[in-house]
Amino acid sequence: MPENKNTLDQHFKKRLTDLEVKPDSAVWQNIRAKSPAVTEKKGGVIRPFIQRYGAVAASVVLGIGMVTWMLNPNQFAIKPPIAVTTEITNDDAPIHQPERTASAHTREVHPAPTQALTAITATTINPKSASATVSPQTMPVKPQPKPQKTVELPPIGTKTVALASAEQEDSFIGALLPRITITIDSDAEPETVHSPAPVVEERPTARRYESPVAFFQAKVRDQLGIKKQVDTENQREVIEWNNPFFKVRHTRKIQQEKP
Amino acid sequence: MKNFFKRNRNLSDTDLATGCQKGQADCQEALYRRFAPKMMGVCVRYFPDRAEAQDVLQDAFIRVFDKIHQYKGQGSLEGWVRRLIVSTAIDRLRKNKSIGYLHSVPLEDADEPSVEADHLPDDSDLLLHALQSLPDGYRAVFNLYAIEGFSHAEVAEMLGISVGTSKSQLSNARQFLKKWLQNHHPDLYARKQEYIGSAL
Repeated sequence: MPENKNTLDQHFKKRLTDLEVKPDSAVWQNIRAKSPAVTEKKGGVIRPFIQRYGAVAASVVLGIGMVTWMLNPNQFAIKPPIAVTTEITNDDAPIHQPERTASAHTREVHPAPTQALTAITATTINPKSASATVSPQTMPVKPQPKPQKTVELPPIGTKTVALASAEQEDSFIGALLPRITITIDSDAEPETVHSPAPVVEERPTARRYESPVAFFQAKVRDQLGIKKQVDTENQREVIEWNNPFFKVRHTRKIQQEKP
Repeated sequence: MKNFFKRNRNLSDTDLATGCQKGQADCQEALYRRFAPKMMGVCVRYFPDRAEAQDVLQDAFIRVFDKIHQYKGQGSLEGWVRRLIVSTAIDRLRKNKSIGYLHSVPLEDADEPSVEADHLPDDSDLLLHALQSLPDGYRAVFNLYAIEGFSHAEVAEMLGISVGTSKSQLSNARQFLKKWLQNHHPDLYARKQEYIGSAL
């Protein structure tokens, strides 16, 4: 075929051969609808929906969580499992408190469900002459360096030791557990005298998490009502999930970390 | 979704064609996104009406996906797709019975020289507008002969007309375009007068 030397033709060819005009987006929709060769994307409805809205939903949830956390970090704190004090005395012995003990005045003790069923004795005593003894039969959750803890009681009026938290009282096991109040008279008189000094309650300090993942795992467990406990005696980790539909109890051996 | 096309922008034509042959929806959409603007540019040269051009584009891409198995990797994928687009456009033109082929110019004038290229406008939109202003018959022949590069015999066979009709249509189209550009691009006429004056 002879080459076309017409300048008008060449000029039009040069300028219009690679002309680009954007078609409407509906064209592709029509092609996909009409062409049997064009396959639908895999994943059906759920996958595109997750792809489209999953990131938005995750961002919203994360944002709400972060804002709530910033406003009140203590709300997210998981109350640490404090061991039931095996002995409370008013001696002049030095204080041996666990690191997470909130206060010597008032302590909320959160025994594990297994601990809740232990026999607990409480006595109204005179701290100058005697001591109050609470003796659980099971070991505390946290591994203790010593089997007994000694806490010095300052000489003030009323001390309240709550062995069950409000959450546990709401639960079935917590309902079985009586709220034990130990009233200690700091005066020399044998009768119990209530001091006008107010009972100071301190919140447990917010727990620090190893990582954000650990934080969200803990929050998910809290929301679902999953309880995770450590049985130090048997070196096993107990995970319980009680809900209206079923009950799951899972135990596994604690993995010893290599030094 | 946009990220997907960014990722697949570097796919070769062969990979894209292979993906389409396997029925991968992502590759099919990527192929459409890659070539649709250029092919739409082809369609608007044949059909000034945008809706009709999009219809042709749609039908052409349906044919592309139906016949993608015939592409063996010989030649560029874009050229293969372009041929199908032109073929679809010609089919549409042949079905359109209203196209009239006017014979107002004698055949011996068909190969007359054109204006100087320097005097022609570079604006693609203006040139497209000029092309779209042509009557249907002129435009079809001019597109096939001048831009697509077919011979008169091929154009005549494609459009179902004689070779003489094809030549006369081409000549008419050139004259129409020159007049149109002179009217809509005054510089062209002025420069041509200067050129003629200096030559004399």
